[in-house]
Amino acid sequence: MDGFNRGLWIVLGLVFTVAGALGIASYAGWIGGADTRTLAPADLVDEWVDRPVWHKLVLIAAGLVLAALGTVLIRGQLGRQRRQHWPDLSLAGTGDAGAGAERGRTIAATGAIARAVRRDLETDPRIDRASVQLTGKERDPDVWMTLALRDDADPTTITDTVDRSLSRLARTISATPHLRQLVIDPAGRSSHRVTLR
Amino acid sequence: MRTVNRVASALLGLVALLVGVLVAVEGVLLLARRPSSLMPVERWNDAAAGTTLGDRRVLWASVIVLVVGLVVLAAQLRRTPPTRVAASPDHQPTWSMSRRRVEHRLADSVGGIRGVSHAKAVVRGNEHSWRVRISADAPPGQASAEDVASVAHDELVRLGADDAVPVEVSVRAGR
Repeated sequence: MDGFNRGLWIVLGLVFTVAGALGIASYAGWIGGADTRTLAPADLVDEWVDRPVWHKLVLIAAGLVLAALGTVLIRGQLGRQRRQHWPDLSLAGTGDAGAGAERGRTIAATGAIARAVRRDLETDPRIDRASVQLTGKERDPDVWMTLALRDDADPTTITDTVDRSLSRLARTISATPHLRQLVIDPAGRSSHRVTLR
Repeated sequence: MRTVNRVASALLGLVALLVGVLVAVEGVLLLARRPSSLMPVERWNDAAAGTTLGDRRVLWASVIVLVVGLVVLAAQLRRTPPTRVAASPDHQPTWSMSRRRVEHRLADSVGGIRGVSHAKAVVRGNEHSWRVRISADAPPGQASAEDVASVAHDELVRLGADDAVPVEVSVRAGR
């Protein structure tokens, strides 16, 4: 959406620039006799009243298309961060439930599993804060992780923790999670002593 | 800029939605041959019909539109630094880091060299192809540009950055 927005405003900037330049050129009389023309004909509204029906239908359709484009644009801006959540985990009960007894199911909410992975990551003392989001399909989950590190931790030392956490998640949900995004934010201050060679 | 663009686009979407609905309603009123009750279109038509392109108001409106267009173009075409920078693809799993954090870490490391002050690191480029520019003050004989580059390189390695990330150093002769 960021690239689209940039493109949209570049196009609008060009349109504004050209429109402004044309307006100045018209005022100055650089466009043959344009400075004496009016902005609109005097009978524009009356003329529209007398136009054929299909002209008015086109006007209505144009208005509706503009309104629809506006709605799509607003939804695009508001829905950027929204990702489709992974469905809640549903596991069939195991073991002998006995004749005639119903076998139960265990439902684990996606949010609870994501929180569990987050807490698992935060047990590593080098990780100050973690945030985890699960998306994708039931048998094909994607994981989005953001880790904020403490002062004495470097990103290169933390990937083992991430791997172990993903392995535990895979065992829990009986599916292989794919790490879609890993953002590791090192602490703002370096704790390393500088020695010149 | 990304946030500004998103807010501006949302506002533009709102304007398009409102104008689109008003145009559609006006079309329906025209179809029913009923007078417009939502907008003073007759008054607007009279005002536009009484204004020529040689009117001063047209000039000022055009100047404003031109300036707005140029400002929008300049803001969009200006290069903006990336929010995140990617670590070396040699690491598995790969990750990305906050650009600001990387800048702070580099400035902090370079600032830790004896005699170096006012260290500043700036990351430019895009998420997957970025470079670093470091500037600092150092009294003559205390720390050379090579020393600063070496410390910055070590810090980049600790952060997991690609070995090939270019580091440009400028050391001013400070007190």
